Amino acid sequence: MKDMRYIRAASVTEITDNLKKYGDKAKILAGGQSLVTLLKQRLVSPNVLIDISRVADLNFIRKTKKTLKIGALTTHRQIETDPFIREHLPILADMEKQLASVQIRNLGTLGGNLCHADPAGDLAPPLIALGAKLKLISATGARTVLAENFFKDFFETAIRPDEVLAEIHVPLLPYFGNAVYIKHSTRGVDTTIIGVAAFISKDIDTCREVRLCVGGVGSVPIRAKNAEAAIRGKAVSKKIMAEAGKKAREEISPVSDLQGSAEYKKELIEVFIQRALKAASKGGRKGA
Amino acid sequence: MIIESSITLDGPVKEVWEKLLDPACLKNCIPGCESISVRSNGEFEGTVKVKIGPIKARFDVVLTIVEKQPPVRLVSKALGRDRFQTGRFTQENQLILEELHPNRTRLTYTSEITISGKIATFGERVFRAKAKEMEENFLASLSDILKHGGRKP
Repeated sequence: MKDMRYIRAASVTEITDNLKKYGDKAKILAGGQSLVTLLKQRLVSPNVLIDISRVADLNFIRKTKKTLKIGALTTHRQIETDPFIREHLPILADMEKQLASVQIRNLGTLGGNLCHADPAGDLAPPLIALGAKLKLISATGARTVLAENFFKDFFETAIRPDEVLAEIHVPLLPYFGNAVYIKHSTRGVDTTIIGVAAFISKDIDTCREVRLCVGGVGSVPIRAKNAEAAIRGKAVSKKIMAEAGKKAREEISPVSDLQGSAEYKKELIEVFIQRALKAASKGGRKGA
Repeated sequence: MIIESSITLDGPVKEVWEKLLDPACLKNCIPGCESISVRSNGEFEGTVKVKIGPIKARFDVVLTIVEKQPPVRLVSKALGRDRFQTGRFTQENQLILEELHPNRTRLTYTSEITISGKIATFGERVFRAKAKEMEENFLASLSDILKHGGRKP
């Protein structure tokens, strides 16, 4: 095995300073639930490993007036069990309950999950549907990108080699809004075959805003924009939801693999879009 | 995994056939191809670099022509080994050329790819999609080269 320098960063400044120094020769180690597997199989062998797991400043769940701010080192289990999230953003707690196993959720972090950018990841679709933003920090400054624009290709993101993902900003649900995440996998802990997140806000019966995001069916999580357009501004009926399912099936082209044929996945897209819309439009929070 | 597709190219059958066996043209068309040459026994050998997120693989590829019926049918076999022992792939290809018009040729392509080793355990689903993407890029580049009179634009 080749020599690797191990640096344990104690603060955000130490992380960004080291990233500035080593750039793409370094990999960031957070919860280790994806990277350690790759290191062990020697599929990835960085020169420098920057362990950020002890940086306490990046582990928090903070509520502001309209936004929930989550530190990138917050674990999946913290999100799953947080009382505020359970009440006000139940989509996130529900999604976490379905993400891998409790052992992985205890160690895996939100930031690590997003930066690994597995197209079948469960965290990204709900964040994209909710309109979340990601705050990236480097030695020279900070910038914010929409979660939707963060993912570029299989395991590739918009993050630059000198940047670290620091915070996730999730808008709180509007009073008449609701969001759900549903997924399908062979067994609970297996790779997600399809995961659909739906966000709907309504004026009485009419859909004011809708965002649909499908994971596991492409190189990145995909917004089903034609399906959204079929519902936006209309009364949410069974017929409209069926129409949206059809649109999503047409606009997304999954690839056949061991988990199922392209045709089977298209069928899943149509069915899961409808199920997610049905659940999201059923009021959920505060009887909207 | 089987990849099948078909594309209509600008150019006579004979020209398309020649391009498909021309190492310089292949080098320009295969995504990530670093070098390609023809051995004395007619086999092609080359290096192809594939990058998926943090994982980089460099395959030494040997392609053998199994059957040749110029200028309509070409059957070949490829074996790729990664230099860092992360995995290997085998590929069986069949190319069929059909004259639609003296200056239009239809290329029908079937390729069966098997990926094995560590690289396959990591992400069989990813490599399938990646292989499909590479094949699409290959055909797009080939089509460009034929359109621009044999030179890459």
